[in-house]
Amino acid sequence: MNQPDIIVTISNMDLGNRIRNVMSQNGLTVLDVCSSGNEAIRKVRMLKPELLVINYELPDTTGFEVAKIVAEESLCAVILLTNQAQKEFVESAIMDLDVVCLNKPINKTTLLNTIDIVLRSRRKIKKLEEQIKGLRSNLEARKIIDKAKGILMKKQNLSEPEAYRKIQKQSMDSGVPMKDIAKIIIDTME
Amino acid sequence: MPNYTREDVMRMVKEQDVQFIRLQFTDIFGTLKNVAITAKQLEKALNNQCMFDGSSIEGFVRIEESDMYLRPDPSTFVIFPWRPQPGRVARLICDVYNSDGTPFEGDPRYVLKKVVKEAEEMGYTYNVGPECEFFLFLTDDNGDPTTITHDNAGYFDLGPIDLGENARRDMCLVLEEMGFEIEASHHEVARGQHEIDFKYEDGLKTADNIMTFKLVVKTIAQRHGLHATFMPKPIFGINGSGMHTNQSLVKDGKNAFYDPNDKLGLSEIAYNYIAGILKHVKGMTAITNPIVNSYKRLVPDYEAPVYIAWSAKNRSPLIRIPAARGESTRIEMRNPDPSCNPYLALAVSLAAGLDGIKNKLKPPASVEKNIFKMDAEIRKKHGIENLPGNLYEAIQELEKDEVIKKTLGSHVYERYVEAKLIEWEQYKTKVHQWEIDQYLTRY
Repeated sequence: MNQPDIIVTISNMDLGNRIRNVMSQNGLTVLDVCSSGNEAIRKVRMLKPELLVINYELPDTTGFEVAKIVAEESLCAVILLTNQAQKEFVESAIMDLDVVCLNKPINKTTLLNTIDIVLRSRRKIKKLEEQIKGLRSNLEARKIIDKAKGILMKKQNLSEPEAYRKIQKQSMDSGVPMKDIAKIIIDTME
Repeated sequence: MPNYTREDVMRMVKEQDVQFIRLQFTDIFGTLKNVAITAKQLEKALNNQCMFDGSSIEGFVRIEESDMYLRPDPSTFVIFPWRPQPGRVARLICDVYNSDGTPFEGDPRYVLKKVVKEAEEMGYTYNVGPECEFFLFLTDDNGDPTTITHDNAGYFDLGPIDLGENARRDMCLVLEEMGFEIEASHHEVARGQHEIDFKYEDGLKTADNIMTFKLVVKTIAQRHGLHATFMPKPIFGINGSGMHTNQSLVKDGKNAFYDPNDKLGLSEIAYNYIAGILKHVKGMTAITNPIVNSYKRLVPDYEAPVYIAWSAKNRSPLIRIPAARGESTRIEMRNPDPSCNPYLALAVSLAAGLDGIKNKLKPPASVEKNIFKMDAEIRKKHGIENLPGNLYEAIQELEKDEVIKKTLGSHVYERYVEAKLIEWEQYKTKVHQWEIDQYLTRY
């Protein structure tokens, strides 16, 4: 994670290689420099980088079109190299997508800073998303266990801690998660 | 697939925040056309008040009679899953009507509807399951498609993931989201060639589905930086792309092709149907294999049919009877290719089959040997004829077949033949790369 993988896409190969050098010298790994949008999409899907830095103007399509596809399917983070007019257009059009515009001419410091910020926030978001996912499935499990507990309490005249303990014990004895035990109880006893 | 009413469509557009609706129809040559309207205009469109200029569509009408109307079919409503934001896009497939409120004779969907109705009057429902093949090619730096496949592109060696597999998986997911039931999806014989099969439906729905399928495949390929093509034979020396069509008739809720007492498990109706297709296949090849390139697929050695015969076992002839019996009894027509107009192709196939049933035609004996291993002499002895060898021969055969001509209707028939003759003339007079390679230095 400390050496993020990046794909650069710009039709001017000289410029592309200069960007690559700047990045490599600063501890970033550039997987590839592409010269067209279609190539960029193919490589992003295949090499799964963490970030795509792409120029707005491309010979086959625009960087914006590529950015939309990449961001919609959240394949990786995107930094789009734009001029002011393009930046305004992009920002008015995509609203909540994960694309950051960077105005040209770019210099070394702003490029590296932007990459740093984008990657940091993306990692943070990823982490939060995972937490939410975890919480969601916990909540889901809790609901199921509560329901099974209720059934046990009613059908077998158990107190709440007893019912809970029963599910827990069966789970521990059989090595099956409590959620699944609860599901079985609901399916068989309801 | 669900059967939506007009009200359902209005409600879904509102609930799902659809901003644009594409009104789709297909021209005679199988190209999908569409008029985009905003959600505000939807009610007007559903009241059949959406007008367009028919003279701008190739093969439709002359400029004097250009006002035509689109009548959306609410049951075809679908929201495109690949544009999640901002503002979703949906589509409705439409029938084309004249300004006086009569159905337009040149609308391929109407041509198919007429034959389907004829079948219904005879008590039959027409079911079709297609097997569409296509190629995925890389695009070059300018975004133009090449004939280089991802399989042999140099950089494929870098990654463990097959770009084509990924794209195909996405295509299947999107199609399922749009209500398709995917039966199989796999890499085909040739490099870069893929096949996706979806569940059979009645003829009209299947034709609609094939049009939607092509759109989805092309769109998703593009989102993967690839170009999908349904051109029948893009590369010399490897298999071409076909669209085998599995067909069956249902009468009173039962498969009309099945008869457990027959030695092949086929009913009289099935034999009549096969005979009808064999009788008219030459006349309909111009429809099922509509372009110059189609005939470069129909050559020996690449699993495509060349000879007119049928078999219950062998895979080489024109018509094969897949092993499944009972409700799955069906015949597989193997010559159509995916460049055809599915409405017209299904219409002529069904019409040919029905002609066989009406006239109680008997098919010739089935051919269980590999026809490609026979020489011309033996084929002649078995009475095995060839499919038309090129587009021109196919058009000539079409001109001789009254049943197929009647099915197409004079409007479609005349426009179609006229355009195809021009296509052939262009091909014939142009100097091709092969000629340059062969003759430039020699003479």
